[in-house]
Amino acid sequence: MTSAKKIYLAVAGGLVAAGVVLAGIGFIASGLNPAVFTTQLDLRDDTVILGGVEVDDPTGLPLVGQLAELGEVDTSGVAAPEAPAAPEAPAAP
Amino acid sequence: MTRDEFLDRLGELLACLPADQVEETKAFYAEAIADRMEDGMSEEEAVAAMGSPGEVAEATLDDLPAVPRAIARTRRRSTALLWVLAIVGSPVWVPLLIAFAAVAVTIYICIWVLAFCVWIVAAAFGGMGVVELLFAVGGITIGHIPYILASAGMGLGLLGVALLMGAGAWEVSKQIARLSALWAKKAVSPFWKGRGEKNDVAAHLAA
Repeated sequence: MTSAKKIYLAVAGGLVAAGVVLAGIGFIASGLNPAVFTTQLDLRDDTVILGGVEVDDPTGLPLVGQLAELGEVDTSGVAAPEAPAAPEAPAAP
Repeated sequence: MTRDEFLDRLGELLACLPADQVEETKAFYAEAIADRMEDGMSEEEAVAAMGSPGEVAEATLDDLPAVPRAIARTRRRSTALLWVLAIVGSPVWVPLLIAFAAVAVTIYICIWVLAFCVWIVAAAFGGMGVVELLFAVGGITIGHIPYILASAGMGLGLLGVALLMGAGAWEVSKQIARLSALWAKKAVSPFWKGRGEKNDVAAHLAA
């Protein structure tokens, strides 16, 4: 095995190990709450819940903000056209 | 029988083969005879050691892949018969040839799709890792420490898994490249034989 490959595998293994440790610490810090691993975006009512905590304004959150805006239709520029004038009643004979 | 007589007779018996192939076979046996003469055999003894020209011609034809062998044997009987069979039998052999080629190419593609799938899975793990890291940045924005740690941990872990899977995918790709080369060789074996293989058989025959 070449040294480059060894370094590559060591980096990959190190990332996995660091990830497991960090995730474990986060899980413990949350009071063993599995919801800490969840990210919920409800596009029906624009609810964003990160790790069990609801975010009031997701604007500015990377990726989450963009995802929360998916499917939204901007209707601010739409104005109701004027109703057509009613035809005049015919004159009595 | 002298060497020239042996080679001339061999050339006549192999007239059903392409000229360059005949010349190659004759050159091989001429060299084999010369080698034996250098070892101290007389010309007649060296030629006799090769076997009769008929045996050598049969062995050469047997050494051909299935399709060229069938064509050569038919051509040896009659070139007209070969053309008649090729034209009359075309409604059978042309569709069969097309089907064979289609199956061979499809299997070749399927082999590589397998490698592609492994790379896609590795890339998907990497993509998930990046998304988790972005979620961790979102966690920083809202100040949710456990979520930051959990998301960053999952992101790093998934990136590590993606790198490991990338290494696995590379190994799988190398094996699949080997497998596909083997398959390509197998697929063309009824029509074509590698130069190395042919020489091995000829060397074995000469020995």
